[in-house]
Amino acid sequence: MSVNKLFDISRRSLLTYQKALSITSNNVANANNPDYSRQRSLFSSVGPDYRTNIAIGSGVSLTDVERIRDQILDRQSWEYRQNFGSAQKQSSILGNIESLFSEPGEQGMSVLLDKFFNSWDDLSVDPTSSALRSNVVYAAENLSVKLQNVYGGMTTLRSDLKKDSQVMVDDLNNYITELRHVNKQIYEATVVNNGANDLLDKRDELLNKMSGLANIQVNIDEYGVANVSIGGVFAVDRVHSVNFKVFEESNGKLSLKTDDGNAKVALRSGELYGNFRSVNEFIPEAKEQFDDLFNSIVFHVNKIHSQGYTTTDPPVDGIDFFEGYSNGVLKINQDIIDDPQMIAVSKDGTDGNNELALELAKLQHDDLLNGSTFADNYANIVGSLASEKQYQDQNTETFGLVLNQLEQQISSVSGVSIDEEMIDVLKYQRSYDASAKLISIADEMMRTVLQMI
Amino acid sequence: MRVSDRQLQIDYLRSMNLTKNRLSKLQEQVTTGKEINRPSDSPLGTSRLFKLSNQLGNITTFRNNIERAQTSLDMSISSMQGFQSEIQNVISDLTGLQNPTVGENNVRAYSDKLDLIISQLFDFANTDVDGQYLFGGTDDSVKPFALNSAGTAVQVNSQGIGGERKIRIAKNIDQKINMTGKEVFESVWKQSGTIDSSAAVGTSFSKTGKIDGADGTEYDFTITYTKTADNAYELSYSYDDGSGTVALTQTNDLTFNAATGELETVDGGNPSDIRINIPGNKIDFKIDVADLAESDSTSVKTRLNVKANIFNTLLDIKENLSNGQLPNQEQLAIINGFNTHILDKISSAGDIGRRLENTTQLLDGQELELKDLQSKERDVDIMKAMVELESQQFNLNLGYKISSMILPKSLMDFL
Repeated sequence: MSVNKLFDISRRSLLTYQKALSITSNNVANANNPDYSRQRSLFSSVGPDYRTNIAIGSGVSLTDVERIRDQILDRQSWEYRQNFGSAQKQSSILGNIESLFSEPGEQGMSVLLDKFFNSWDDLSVDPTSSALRSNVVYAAENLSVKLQNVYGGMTTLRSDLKKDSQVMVDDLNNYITELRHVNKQIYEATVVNNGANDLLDKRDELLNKMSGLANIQVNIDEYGVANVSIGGVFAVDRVHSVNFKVFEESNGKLSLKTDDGNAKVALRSGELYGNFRSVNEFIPEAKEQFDDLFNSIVFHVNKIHSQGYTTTDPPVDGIDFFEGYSNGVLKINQDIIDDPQMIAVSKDGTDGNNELALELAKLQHDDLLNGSTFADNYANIVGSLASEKQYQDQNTETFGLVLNQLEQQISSVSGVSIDEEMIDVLKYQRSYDASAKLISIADEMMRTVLQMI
Repeated sequence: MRVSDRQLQIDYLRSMNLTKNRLSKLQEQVTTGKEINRPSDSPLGTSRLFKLSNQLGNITTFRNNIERAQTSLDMSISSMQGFQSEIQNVISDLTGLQNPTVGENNVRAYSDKLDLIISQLFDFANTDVDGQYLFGGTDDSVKPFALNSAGTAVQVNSQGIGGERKIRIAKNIDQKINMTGKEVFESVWKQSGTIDSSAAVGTSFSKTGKIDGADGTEYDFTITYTKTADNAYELSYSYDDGSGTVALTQTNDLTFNAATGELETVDGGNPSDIRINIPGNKIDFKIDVADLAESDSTSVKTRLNVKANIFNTLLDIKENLSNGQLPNQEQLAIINGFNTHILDKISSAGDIGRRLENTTQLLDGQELELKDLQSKERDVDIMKAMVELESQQFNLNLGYKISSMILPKSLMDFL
């Protein structure tokens, strides 16, 4: 072996540990990047020159940079991210709906409903009292205003959720397009055996974001390319990608389809599903229950009220208390608002007769809708939404906990440990120093030989 | 297990987030004093709170109603007592006039005094509170009693003088809160019970009772019910003063609901009292048929509250006194009978007042229990919440301290 070989081995060693230090410094720099997977230098010894009698190795080289990642954990995290996104979104929306009710409290519809029926009881004591008649109108107006606030609030929320869904779908489309580009770059890098580690991190980051929005199915091929479908509809590979769009059906329900409208996505989870479920189920069901409740109230109140006589001169009968109810608007008879003497609670036409006021007050205790009272029906509307919110809160906590544990595991596998990296820095630095010393020794050896001449 | 730097951060952030969430919840509970601040805090608890609030609202309404009713009821009792006191004086005075030593001039002079008393009695019967006549029944905006144009008989102006006003004092209990002018001051012959609906058309039956004219003459008065068609009857009347039967030309028609058997119309209109007024005989009373119904047998009972109208009787006595003529024994019996009757009515009103008072006490007790239940369901145990709040605050501070000690440290710090 010539002295020159010592120079070759030392030079190779210096370059190898310099590269290793670069990889370590890249790890340190990304220590707080949540999407980064730590990388590890893979060394191997350079083989001996077999032309000599004694085979002596030729030093060390960096053969690969390994990306440390556990695909099983990634898949699990995508699944739980979808469930978490869905539960968290539904919980947040249900919280919005819940706040519209102002329950339990004095401004809630439960109390206002009670006050409306109790105002008839108050009137029964003195049916000719203008103050008590005005009180009935006031109680009915308060109920009507609260209903409009709740119903109108739900209508506004529905409109906001539709816009929000379209924004989410725009984001989803951007992720899909970006993923197609990343997939292509991964394929090209992998085919020519260039490192694609950072591209794979980018791919996983995009998949994480997509899984928060919708239920994605991911298939990673041998090149590391992610082939993704959403709710059974193809979304992206390395060559093609599809854009999605929110459609409003004729029944008012939202659906997610490819932008040509041909393929419908079967949404099951993700934030988009949370939005769609709220728009397609929670809000219309609550509205329908309100419609049933107030149509029934209008029918039964008018049925009794129209039998009575007003205290006007002359007394008039056949007057409805409510003009009607439609889409959250409870309209009180304008003639009654203008002149509360038009309230008709006298059964026989005498001013002091209060029989119908008593009958109207008793409506609150009768099982007139779905086998229960008006108040119970309202409690069911609030109760079912509250129970669903509680359920989604629990899901958010459960899925959040699992997701957190998975992130911990992913971080355990792929996260950077500064301690570990600093040890590597020391290790590589020592090796680098030793290699430099070797060059110095080889130089002295060479000098000794030259002095012999 | 390998521990990365980010793992420590995730763990720390999650723990801090949990603690802050608990802290926020406890702070809300402590500041509002309520455990349930929104329905999702406890859907079942919210439902219970709705029911309790509904019950408390009803109790407040019932109690307010009772308070208002008690005011007018007390006024009614006071007026009836005033009326009764005057009647008692009249009885005493008229008894005194029966003494043979009382001269004709004194008798005539008492006529003027009685005239004033009658005016006073009209005032009592027309007592009003804020324009509402207490004895006007459901037609309480009209002064119920007045003299006719000749000044010889009472005239009832109120159309609904018999109308009872009820209020709700419990979920399923309606309580009458007024004393009607009809039941207190009028002569009413009540007919109640059932008429056989299967009887053939043309079948008839009669009811006879003793009615007095205001001049004290007693009559056997007969009502004859004749079936004229299915569910329809004609009422015809006759009276006998001992010298012969006189038939009235007046007839009235009753119809009953074929399905329920309840009285549906009187003379084609809403069920109302039938007035029998025979000025020549000074007979003036009402027949109350509201409690008649058709059924599978005939059993009609009758009850007369007073034998003659008190105002008309006093007016007749006053007229006779001005002519120096003393009231007859039957007239004195009518006044005594009325005195007993109005004492009964005062007692009935007192019973209603006591019932309202008892109900108020019952409602107060119920309100207390319901408020207790509401508090248990809704309000937070402040001591427990404060202790937990302190504990969570301690955890948070501990978290901050530990994070400041551990998170920034690495091997770098020791190299």
